[in-house]
Amino acid sequence: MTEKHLGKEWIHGLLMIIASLLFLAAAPRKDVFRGAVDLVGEILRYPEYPAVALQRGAKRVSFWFADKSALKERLDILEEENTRLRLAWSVGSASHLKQELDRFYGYARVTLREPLSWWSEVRINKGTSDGVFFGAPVLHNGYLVGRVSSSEENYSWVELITSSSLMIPVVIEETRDLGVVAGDGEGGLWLLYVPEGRLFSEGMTVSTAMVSEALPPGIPVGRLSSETRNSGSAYLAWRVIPGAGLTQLYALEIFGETPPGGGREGRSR
Amino acid sequence: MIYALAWYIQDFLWVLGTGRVVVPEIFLLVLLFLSLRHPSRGVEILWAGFLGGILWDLRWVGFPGLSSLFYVVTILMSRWAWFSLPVSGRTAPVFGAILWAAFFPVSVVRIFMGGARGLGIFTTYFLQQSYLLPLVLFTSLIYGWRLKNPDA
Repeated sequence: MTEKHLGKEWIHGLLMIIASLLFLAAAPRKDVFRGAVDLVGEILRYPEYPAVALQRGAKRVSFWFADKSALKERLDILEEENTRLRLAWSVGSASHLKQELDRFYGYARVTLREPLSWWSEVRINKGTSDGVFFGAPVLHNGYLVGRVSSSEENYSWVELITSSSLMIPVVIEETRDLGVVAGDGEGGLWLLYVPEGRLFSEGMTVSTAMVSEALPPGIPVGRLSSETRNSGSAYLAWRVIPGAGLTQLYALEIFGETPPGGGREGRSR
Repeated sequence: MIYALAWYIQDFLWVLGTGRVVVPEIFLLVLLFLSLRHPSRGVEILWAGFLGGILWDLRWVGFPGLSSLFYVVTILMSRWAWFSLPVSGRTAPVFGAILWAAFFPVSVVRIFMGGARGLGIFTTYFLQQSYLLPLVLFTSLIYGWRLKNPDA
């Protein structure tokens, strides 16, 4: 860079510095520059428009996300509140149901059904003081669900027909064939000891057979299904669809129950 | 044209990031790069800096003369430092160092004019450096590349 060039540049530079300082000195007087500021703003409004539009778009997107987040938060709160209300309602409803069930004579309320023995037994709130005796058939919606396996003063245990240890002698109403129903402990109910070669069809009614005194004949158990399995030897097992709703048991009817202080004396085990 | 484009890019980013980010001095970076690359274009670049600074102040700062003063002084000082060096010493790292040093006064003014006080000064400074250093590094790399390929 030549000296002349450098000198010229410095002179220009110094002039600009002086001009800048003069501008700065006048800067506090807003009215001097107001027109220029407005003009520059007006001119730049057009080239700056894409940036403004982009900024607005970004702001809108950001607001949308913020709104969504707020809504999600509100939804979570409402869901939690809803769960609490449902729970409170269920408690109220359950106590109401309990009162309703207790009002009906002849019905026993299921007070315990343990998960480990779900298909085997339930506890009911009636015992010997209510006339419940050992071996009494227990019904649900008119269908057999089991028998009383033990009875105390104020409660009893009912062994369900789906229990693998309870065997009920039954008869096929349409053909008068005899057999035994027993559960598999997993919710399934099977008609056993029916000789192979018997022609049953789906939907045939299975009822209790008159084999013992404690179990009156003709109590419906369920209907035959088309599913069969070979149980060995010369017998074929048929699946029985229980008439009672065994998955949800709330109230049960004890067959032959006598009112407290009534004629029949309860037998307990 | 290049001056107007650099000024517009800076202005565009300023509008886009209003109130949220500190926009790098792209206009000054371009002026410095050109002023150090072209020894004979000093006057032209100085005038571009002066006018660009006035325009910037009228648009954004509100103190006409402030940015132009800093731009002109920065360009003059950088050119003086750069062209005082022997030609063999004008390497890419020195180029980068002068460029980085030239930004310091403007950065400080922008921090204070942005309203940062106390610990906020350091936060804003480090934020500024986070994008200033890559820009300086990138410009130095371009300079180094142009040194190796003078015909490109």
